Amino acid sequence: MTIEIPEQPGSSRPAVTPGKQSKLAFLWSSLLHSWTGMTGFIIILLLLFLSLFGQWIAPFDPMHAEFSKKLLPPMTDGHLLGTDQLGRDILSRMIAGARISVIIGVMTVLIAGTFGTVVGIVSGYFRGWLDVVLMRIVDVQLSFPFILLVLVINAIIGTGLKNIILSLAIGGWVIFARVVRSEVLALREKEFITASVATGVPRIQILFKHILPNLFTPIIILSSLQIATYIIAEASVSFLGFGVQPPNPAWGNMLSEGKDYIFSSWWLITFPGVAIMITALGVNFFGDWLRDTLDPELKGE
Amino acid sequence: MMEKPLLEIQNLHVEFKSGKEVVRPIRGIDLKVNRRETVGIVGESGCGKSVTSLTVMGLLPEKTGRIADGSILFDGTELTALPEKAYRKIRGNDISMIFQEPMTSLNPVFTIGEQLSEPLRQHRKMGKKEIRETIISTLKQVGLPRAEQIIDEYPHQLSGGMRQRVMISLALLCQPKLMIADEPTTALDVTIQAQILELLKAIRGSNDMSLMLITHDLGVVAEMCDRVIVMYAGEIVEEAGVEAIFDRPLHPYTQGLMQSLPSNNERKGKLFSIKGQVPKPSEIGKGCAFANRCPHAFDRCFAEAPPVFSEAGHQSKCWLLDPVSKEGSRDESSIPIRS
Amino acid sequence: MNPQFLLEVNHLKKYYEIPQGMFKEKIVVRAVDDISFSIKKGETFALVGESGCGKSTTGRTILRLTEPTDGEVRFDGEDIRSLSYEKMRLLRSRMQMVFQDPYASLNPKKTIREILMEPLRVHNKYEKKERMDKIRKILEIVGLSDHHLDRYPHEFSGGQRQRIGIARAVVLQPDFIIADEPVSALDVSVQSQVINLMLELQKEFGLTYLFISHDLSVIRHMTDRMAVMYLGKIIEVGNTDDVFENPKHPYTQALISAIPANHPRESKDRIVLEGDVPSPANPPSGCAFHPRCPAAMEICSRRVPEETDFGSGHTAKCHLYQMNEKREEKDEHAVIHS
Repeated sequence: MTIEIPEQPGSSRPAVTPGKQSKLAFLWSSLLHSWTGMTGFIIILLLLFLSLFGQWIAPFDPMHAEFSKKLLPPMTDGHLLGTDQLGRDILSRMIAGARISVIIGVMTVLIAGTFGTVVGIVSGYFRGWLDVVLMRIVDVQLSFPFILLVLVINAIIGTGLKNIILSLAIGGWVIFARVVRSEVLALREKEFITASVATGVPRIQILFKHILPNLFTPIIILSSLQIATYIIAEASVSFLGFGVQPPNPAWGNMLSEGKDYIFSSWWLITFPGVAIMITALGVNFFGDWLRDTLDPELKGE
Repeated sequence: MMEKPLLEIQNLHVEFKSGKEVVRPIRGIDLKVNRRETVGIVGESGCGKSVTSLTVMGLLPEKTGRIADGSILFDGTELTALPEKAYRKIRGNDISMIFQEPMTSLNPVFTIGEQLSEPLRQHRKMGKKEIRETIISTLKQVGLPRAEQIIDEYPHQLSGGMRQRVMISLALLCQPKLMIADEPTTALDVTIQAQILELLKAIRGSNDMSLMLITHDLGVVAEMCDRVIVMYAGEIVEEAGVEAIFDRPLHPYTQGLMQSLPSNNERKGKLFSIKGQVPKPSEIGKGCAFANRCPHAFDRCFAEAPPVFSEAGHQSKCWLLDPVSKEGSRDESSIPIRS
Repeated sequence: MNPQFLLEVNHLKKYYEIPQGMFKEKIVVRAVDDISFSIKKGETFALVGESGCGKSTTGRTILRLTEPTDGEVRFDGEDIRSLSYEKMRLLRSRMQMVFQDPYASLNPKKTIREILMEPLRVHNKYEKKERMDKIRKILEIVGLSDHHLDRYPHEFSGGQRQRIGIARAVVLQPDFIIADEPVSALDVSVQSQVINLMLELQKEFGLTYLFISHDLSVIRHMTDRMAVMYLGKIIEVGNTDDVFENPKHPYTQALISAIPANHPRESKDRIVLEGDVPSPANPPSGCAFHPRCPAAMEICSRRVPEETDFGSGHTAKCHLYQMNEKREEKDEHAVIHS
């Protein structure tokens, strides 16, 4: 049959984004152009580095107490950031604390994100009474202050690293459920979903092959922003005496222990405080950049 | 003596920056709009017709777009060098614009009256009462029923056709010398489109105003315009009086456009179609921008961009019209169009 | 059941209920309100109307992309409303759809290969090895080529995307395709390419089309029969030629007269309708068109007009023609009584 094949002037050109490879290249070049994104990226790299190799970098054993050297100011006796009330090296404790913060941030996001995403998908895609019930649970939980909820759960299930992660996740999954549900609701109405129904794609395949891949970007963005929330929440909870228990060096309980010396030895709380701030700022910078970079592309496609 | 044209654009070049790339959506256009004249600018998406109107309105995106070269003379004022403050006095006052989407061009949180009083407060010293009276009379002029009530209603309470009428009244408020209508009927239903076209005709007759009508619809052009400008890939390829262009289109692109209309083809038959698609700005070489799709293209078309050939006010940028390289190929090129 | 009809739609209704809060009555939008028509094998049947008239909803309801409120849809003799979800899903290999917006209807995360492979995979057509050949062949037919296979939809122009949308619909070699405004989003020169493609495909595969559009010149060019819809109802049906040459319903007359002129010297006696299309949530009484109708009579606001048959399948619902019949009836009565 004779259907003219039009010349495609565009076809000889290299494609704009032919695949995964150049997507990474695109992200990288966008990162190079954003100083906030780059700052966040470097802070995150530093955190990851410290949490992986911290034990070999730290100048002292973070748990080793030496009473003769207690409350040394910064830059004395090889203690770069000074020592605390038990004579432990603050820098080493902070490096060890970075590891705890990273573990808590990442683990909580994995648990809360997975659970919240499943709930959000079930709610948004299958609707019906299940959606009503699940979303009312989410509403109830969202009307409760996050920190208070985490404290209550922590008080019930007990303290310690595992339990603080669990309580943060129980407090945090609702955000994921909410966001994922609204994304699914929006996707359901997209014409390409209708088009695959019209093609005859089974319902379960529509969910896994068409809806899930389109959820990837919003979930990644939300996760990066939530990590900062979890790290701050953990610090707050630890500060209040729940969460990670002393003598384990979490930034939160370093703050808590140091607060009694706030007027005599400022360095006890200043450095962990600054560390929390920088981490939260860095993760937020990175998350904001990620959202700005990926979102317009989503719309543009 | 000939009256000076109201708007005169000369050798206009516009550039957009996107990342490191520089895109040139308008590459050297010359056009005139005379007083009380309706000029149609025709072309397909991406031909630069909307960018032309934004440039005249001084609404190019500040950070990315700029006028690279050329001049825009409006009623004796050079617009290309005009500071923003002075531009604001012209925009909405001497030049006004109607957009394609009546749904999104009105702010949903303000009443019609609040939105329409904006240009009057900017450009006219009027009391509240006077403003209201002017608005109501303009709303009546565009054929809106219950103007006294509509003035206090919100955009969502009006239908698409009524919103487009409100937009037209907004453009009319300050009795502009030039009205630019960018696809004013494209988003509207067939019967509403007929209403708006009749309205535009009536307005043009009763106001001392020029109309620049930007559209892809040749039917709208046939009904409304005195003169037609055909744009392709950022250039003007043909310009003529409306009857001349429909009687005897000279440029192969214009010919193709007219022949591909279903009404110019035998029912159920194969429609004439221009092969290929509009080149991206980055793909335009040194030759004629239409050469790769042109059924009559020959060597010279790819090597050298054609100048404007003019013949009794009918201008076209095509090598086929060159008296030197003609060699009889001209007769082939001007395919008669059924009228 | 007439075997020459591929699709029969009888008294199809699609109502949407909009809840208005706890104590208020729900608003019922009658998007499609009791329409019937049949499409013969191999023909192109057009649904024409302005936005909100229910033409797109009709298309989607026929394919059960939204469930109908009432009525019957028979495809090749089978009542598809009674089919289970799975049976309906399998039947979709025979009835496909082309969408208006080729951008929105292609999954941005899938390559063209994946988009075209999916229909074959979910309907388990052909051996796995053959599928790729099939896709290559279809791509060539719609005017694209091999090296487009691994591209994503956003890398194509509007016209090319619509070709992909059409390729997806024909790759299963269906009998019936619903095309919902397939060329409205395209430029003039691309529009004619796509129309040509659809006509060629119809010849090649013996397709039956339901062509939904508001563009009367396209409809005149490529359809055999047409139905005009206004506010959820079909007001006129007939052979496309008959309707264009001799439109009966005042609305159809206005629509046809609203087609822009072809040439500046062509003088058009245009019927310009007053006002806007009313909301389908609150349609006017009687004949829904009466508030805008230049020929409206007293009876039009009171009674819904019956159908008048003008021969060779051309029918319209308008009191103008009913009146004549009534009068004749009366005259007959008079004769009998005297």
